[in-house]
Amino acid sequence: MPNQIEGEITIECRGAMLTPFLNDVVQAGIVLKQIEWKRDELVQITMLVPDFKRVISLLRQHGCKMKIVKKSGLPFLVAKAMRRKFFAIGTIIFISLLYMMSSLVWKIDILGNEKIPTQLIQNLLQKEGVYPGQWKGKIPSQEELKQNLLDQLPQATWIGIQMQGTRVVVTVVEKKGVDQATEPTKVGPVNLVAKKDAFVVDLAVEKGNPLVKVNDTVQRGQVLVSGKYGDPTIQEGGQIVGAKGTVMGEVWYESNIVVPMQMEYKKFTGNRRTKTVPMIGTWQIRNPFSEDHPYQTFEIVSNESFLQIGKWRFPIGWIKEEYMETELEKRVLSPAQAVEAGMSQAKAEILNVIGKDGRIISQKILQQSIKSGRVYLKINFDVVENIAVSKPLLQGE
Amino acid sequence: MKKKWNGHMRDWASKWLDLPPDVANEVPRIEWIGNDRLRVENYKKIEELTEKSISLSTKLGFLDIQGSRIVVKVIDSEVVIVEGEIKDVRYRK
Repeated sequence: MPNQIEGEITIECRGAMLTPFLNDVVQAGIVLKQIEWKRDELVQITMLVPDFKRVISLLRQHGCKMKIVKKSGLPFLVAKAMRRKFFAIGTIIFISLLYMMSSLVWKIDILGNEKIPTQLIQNLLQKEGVYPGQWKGKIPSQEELKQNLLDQLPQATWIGIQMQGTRVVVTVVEKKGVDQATEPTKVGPVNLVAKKDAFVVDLAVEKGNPLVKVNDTVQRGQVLVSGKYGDPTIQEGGQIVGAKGTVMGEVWYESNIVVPMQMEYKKFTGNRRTKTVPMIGTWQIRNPFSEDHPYQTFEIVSNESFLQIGKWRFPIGWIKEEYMETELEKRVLSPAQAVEAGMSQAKAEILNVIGKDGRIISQKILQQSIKSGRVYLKINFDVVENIAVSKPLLQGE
Repeated sequence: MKKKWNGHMRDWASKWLDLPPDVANEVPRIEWIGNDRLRVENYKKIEELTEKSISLSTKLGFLDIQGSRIVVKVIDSEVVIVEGEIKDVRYRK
């Protein structure tokens, strides 16, 4: 192998004085190899490139002729490469360009933001030094970046930054703000009209002219509180003030609920096993012969880590996979238990619909049947809720 | 004259100091591995080289190596390594 670095030349020598020539070469301290007697007055020898000139001059002294048979080794490869200069330069440029390109950030994906404008996050990231065209090595450490971004984005609860090759994925979790949409927007004076057919139970009018009384039955769309004082049947006159208040009405709801009597839960048994998979870049090196699934049913929690020195992250890392055995647990409900479960489920749904002002007065199961392991329920709810909704009062009316 | 005296000194040294003769003396040392590789140290010159034989001159006279497909694997001023089917190694005065 070291000979290949210096390079070797094989030549054929022709002449009558070959033996003295060989002796002279050896006496001159030159190492010859692979001396093959080919024919009378024809010998093939191999030597290192640096010795070639001396061998040639000795050859001339002895009146021999020679022909180069073979050249091998690094100097010839280099010479060849030099002859194809542009090809070699191209290769080098290509490889270095590829390397350079892959160490740049090309794309930034911002996920999970609904209220925070993407542009704002992009600008913040730019200030932190994360932008398309940035060297990956110059990006500050993830912890630092996360902290800085969180400080500047009070609307976010959590920010995750992940490098996926040349892509940076920023995941934002926003704080769930107080719903400000419930506050009615100013649309001018309004009437209060009935949301649905109901039986009026209570009236609390702050402003406006109530047109219904307690114990009235109202229909959907009927005006409950007029925004105009005076007789509503008279077109002209009457001061427009806009209606404000709540009208509590009794409403009936019917809900259909299906409760399976057999329920299956996924439960962890507590058995767990950790597996470490080495990783180069994003390529996971898995042992194809290893038992892939240690348990029949399981869940995997995986955790990636990379070798890191300062800011520089090596593309070598490992994934810790935790296999946690799970087990399906069946729970069989008795019909009575199923009805109870269905009842509380229906109640929760109704309460969600009628809002915080509403309350359930009574509930009644209208129908109950058991079919193919499920309990079907039809429940009637008698509830009281605010049935008043605002409707803009047109000035022309 | 000087060379002769030198040779005597070497003989004497090898005898009295119990050195192997190839170290002290310029006699050839031959190592024959299997039947295809022969290593000769302390030779003087190549006398003849053909496909079937190679002759080296040594202090003890000529060393004839005969066989077929003889190739000198490596040669420098002290060591010759000969490869090929070697059948006969013999000294000739």
